Amino acid sequence: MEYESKLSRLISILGIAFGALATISIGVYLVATINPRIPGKTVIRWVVDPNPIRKEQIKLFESKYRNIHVINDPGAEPQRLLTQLAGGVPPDVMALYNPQTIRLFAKNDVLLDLRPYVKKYKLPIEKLYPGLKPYIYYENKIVGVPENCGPYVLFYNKRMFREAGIPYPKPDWTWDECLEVAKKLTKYQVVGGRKVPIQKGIYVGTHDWWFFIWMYGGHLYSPDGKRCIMNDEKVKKGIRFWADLRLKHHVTPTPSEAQSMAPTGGWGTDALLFRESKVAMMVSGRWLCIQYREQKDLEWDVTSVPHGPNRVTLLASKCYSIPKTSRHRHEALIFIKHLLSKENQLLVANYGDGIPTLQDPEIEKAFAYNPKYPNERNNLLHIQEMKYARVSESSPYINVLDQDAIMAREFDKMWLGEQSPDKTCDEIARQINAVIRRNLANPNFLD
Amino acid sequence: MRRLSYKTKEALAAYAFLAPNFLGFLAFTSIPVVVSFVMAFTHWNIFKQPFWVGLENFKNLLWFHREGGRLVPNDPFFWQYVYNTVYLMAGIPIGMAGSLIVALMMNQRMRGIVVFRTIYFLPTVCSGVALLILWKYLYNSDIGLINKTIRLVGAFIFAKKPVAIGATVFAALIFGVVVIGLIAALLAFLQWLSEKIRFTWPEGLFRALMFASGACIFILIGIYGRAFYNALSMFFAEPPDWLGTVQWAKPSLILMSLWGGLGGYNMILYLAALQGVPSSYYEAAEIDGAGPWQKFWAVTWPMISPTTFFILVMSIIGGFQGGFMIANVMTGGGPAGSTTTIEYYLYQTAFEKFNMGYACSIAWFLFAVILVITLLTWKLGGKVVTYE
Repeated sequence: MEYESKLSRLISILGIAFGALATISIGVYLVATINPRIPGKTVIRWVVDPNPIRKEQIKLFESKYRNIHVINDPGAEPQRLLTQLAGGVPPDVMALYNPQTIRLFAKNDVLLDLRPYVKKYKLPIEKLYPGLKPYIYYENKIVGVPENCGPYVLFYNKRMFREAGIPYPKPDWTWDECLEVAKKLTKYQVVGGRKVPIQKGIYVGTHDWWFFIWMYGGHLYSPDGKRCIMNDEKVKKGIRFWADLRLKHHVTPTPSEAQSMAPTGGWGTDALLFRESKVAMMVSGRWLCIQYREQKDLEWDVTSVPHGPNRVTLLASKCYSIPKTSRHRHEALIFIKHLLSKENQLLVANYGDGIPTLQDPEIEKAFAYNPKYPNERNNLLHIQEMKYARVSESSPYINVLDQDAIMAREFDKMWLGEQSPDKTCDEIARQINAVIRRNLANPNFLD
Repeated sequence: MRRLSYKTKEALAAYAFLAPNFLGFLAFTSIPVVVSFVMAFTHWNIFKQPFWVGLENFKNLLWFHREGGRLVPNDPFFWQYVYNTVYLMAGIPIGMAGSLIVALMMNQRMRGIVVFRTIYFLPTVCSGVALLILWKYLYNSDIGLINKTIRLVGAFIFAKKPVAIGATVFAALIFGVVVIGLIAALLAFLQWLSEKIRFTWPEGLFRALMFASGACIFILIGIYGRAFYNALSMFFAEPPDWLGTVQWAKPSLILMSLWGGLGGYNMILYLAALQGVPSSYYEAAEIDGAGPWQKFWAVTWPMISPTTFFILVMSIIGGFQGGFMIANVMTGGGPAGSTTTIEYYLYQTAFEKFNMGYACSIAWFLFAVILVITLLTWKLGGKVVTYE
């Protein structure tokens, strides 16, 4: 009898516990899924980085479409987006930052195919730069629209060049010419009998492998993506050159040197090193102009990334996509249309964070010269470089994180002098191909 | 309406107080644990519904296949990360010994001991990320305090030949003594194991082996004296890039964890255990003529053995589950993947590659390893732990 009473009490308690849990869960779900309500307005959520320009963009949009209110939900990391999508609280417009992420989302049928809406909403897809196709299409579907972009260019410190008596570089220069200049711009001082670098010629990061894979016309993957061809002689030649920049000619800092050269206890990032005149040249994108403008004593300009026989540079962009599950599809489409509008593109042009993606003479003109920044007279170069820009390669048969992990691990060995550049290329090809073979045999590995 | 009895009211109050914890446990621990076990047998990338794949995740994680005549793991990364995790756990016994020594020091009756205890405990209450960044700078090969000090000491020692030779001899002596100490520990362990299988070593064998190994080591040091000198001068002139090389990255992290761990919770636990040893035992030992060393081995060590055992078990569990913050803040898991642990790999698989099923299989493999090792430790430890 006592046992039965205890059992029934236990069952009651469990019942109460589950009931309370269910109530809390439903409450949390309801709170999370309901967007803030503003009478007479539809609220849409735009998940993107919290760049200061977003406020101006939203202001411009809301002045045109008074019945739509846009919330900038900052931080568009794939983890965050996935959590929102899986939790049933999809954003209305979201930024995807590389073709691999776009492919991941598109392949899993998360993104709205914009083809049926191109005509209806007058989306000017055909006016976007052709090089941006990987940010727009997935298997002929239109899954996103890029609003700005930036090919990698070479920033150089004009004062350092002047003081060393070196003429400013021309846009068609080669890596060999760059190396000779970098040697002249690399300086050491002797501290306690030790040569310590105080200035390096050029900063090329340990992950900037694309320039050198492509330098002699090589590729990471075969056209069908089923084979890694990093062991191709064209690639090896480029990687040998890259390794020599650091290991033989010492014109680019090692990660440790970068950290030690960084001023004010900074992290030794490429941007900081260039800003503080610790490196004379640096390969990066247009977005760094924003912080270099603030450094009043920094005289800088841009030219093209040096090239080998094959003139090519890396293209960075992001696209805006609409999840299929968005509750405000119409408003999201209007917003996307606005992002590609001339007014918004002019705003992007004036801000100068990246090149506006719409090919239009008036927008190009606005981007080429902004009277607020009279020193930036070479902006047109960014647009001209679009001819040579291409996105990083990937294969549908290997997760890009696995690919990057293999490459980073083997390149680390190269930087540590544990294996030659040729061996590194061979090892990368062998390991990536092994993973591709495994994935082809077992598609569960792929998403 | 029937009034509730006092007993019922009391029980209801107790359940009401227990409810928040129970609900929290249910929602955030027990349900996820059960779900993760099921997920380990599925493929789930968050986007789509999970589907059943049976043991495939475990096969891909743990199994090998033939490639060009050699055996290759299905997962090319996993075993390296297991090795890294186990390697980093080498710091556990050193850390425990250090914590015990610190606790013994902090157990002295002297003025201002509370200040010392606070100082030793301070790293534990400091922000982990801030400390990791601090250590990153200490380890910098060019501007780091460690390398600057080494270079400074090197410049002083190797400025004059006699000083350099003297320093080399001193270093060789220390090196020799450490190696002999390690050999002694190994031999003692072997002797203990032999006794377990009822095999007693012949009288004098231990001493003879120690003598022979000691002689060999010092002869070898003598033969390679010049090379030792050169290596030492090289080390002081150009100290290693601690976090930037595969050889030094893991030992550097162990060293760093010792700094924070010696005076941490382990020290507090040891201190509590030491203060719980009845003074009458020491008095009795003193009457029997025991010295400080004998008192430690005969009284202190057995009396604190349950604490040692507890710390060991918890450290092993923590060791298998560790490494995420260090990899995330200090090393990014590099160089060449040498500081990536199972935990960091699990995070990457789940939240960067979105392969949840596979990540769950890693988690359950980790659980199985921890369970087996804890049970083994429990079984072996139970024999050597003394309960009062």
